[in-house]
Amino acid sequence: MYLGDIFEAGGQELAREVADTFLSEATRRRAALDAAFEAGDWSGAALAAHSIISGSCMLGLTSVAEAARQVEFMAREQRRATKDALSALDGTIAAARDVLARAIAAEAQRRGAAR
Amino acid sequence: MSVPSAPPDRRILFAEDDPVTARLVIHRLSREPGVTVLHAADGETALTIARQETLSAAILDIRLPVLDGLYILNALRKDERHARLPVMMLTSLGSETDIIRGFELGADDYIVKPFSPAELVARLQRLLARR
Repeated sequence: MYLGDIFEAGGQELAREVADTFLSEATRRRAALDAAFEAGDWSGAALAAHSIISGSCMLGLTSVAEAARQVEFMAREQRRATKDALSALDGTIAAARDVLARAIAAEAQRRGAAR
Repeated sequence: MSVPSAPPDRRILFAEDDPVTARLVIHRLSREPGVTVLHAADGETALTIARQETLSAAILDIRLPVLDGLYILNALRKDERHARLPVMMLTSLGSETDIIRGFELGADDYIVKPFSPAELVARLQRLLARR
């Protein structure tokens, strides 16, 4: 399920809505990750990372999904995520805002041009 | 003159904690005539809905807060009312062991994220038709 399919299902409005939902949810889950690691709550950390994977997969954000998968793997092994792993996740989430905006604009333009 | 028959009332339990996946699936399922989606964002709520409602099918994400999808599946299969309920599991790529466990517990089908909600609905219709 990528943006083209989402446009097909609900147009640009749905694409923008789910992009905004993903970005706010990823930010919330990222904060939950820190709290869970701090508390030694491994299953909570794994669940927070896994939730980021779900949304990013559905939007085709493979870099975010891969970075979150690394963090989930560490949590399931009951160890704190490394700074590098968390920085990579932060970087991909930060980049996702621009990636999604550009992808939505490109898809809208493509569909407009095809009419 | 024939009167068109009303679409069957189908109540689908949908357990998914990721709001992006939930929004996309609910958006697509809501277009199906006669379908009511009962959404739960955690396993405990999903189990409460299953105990209170008469269901036509369930779509369960495996990784859920509080109680996971496999626990819910197991509980459904132990409940006489839901022992034969069509159940589809959702999972992310790389969790194949969860799928095997799901089939062992009696899941009817599974779909891996990322997926097309249209494909999910097609698979669900196939399960409902078999009932």
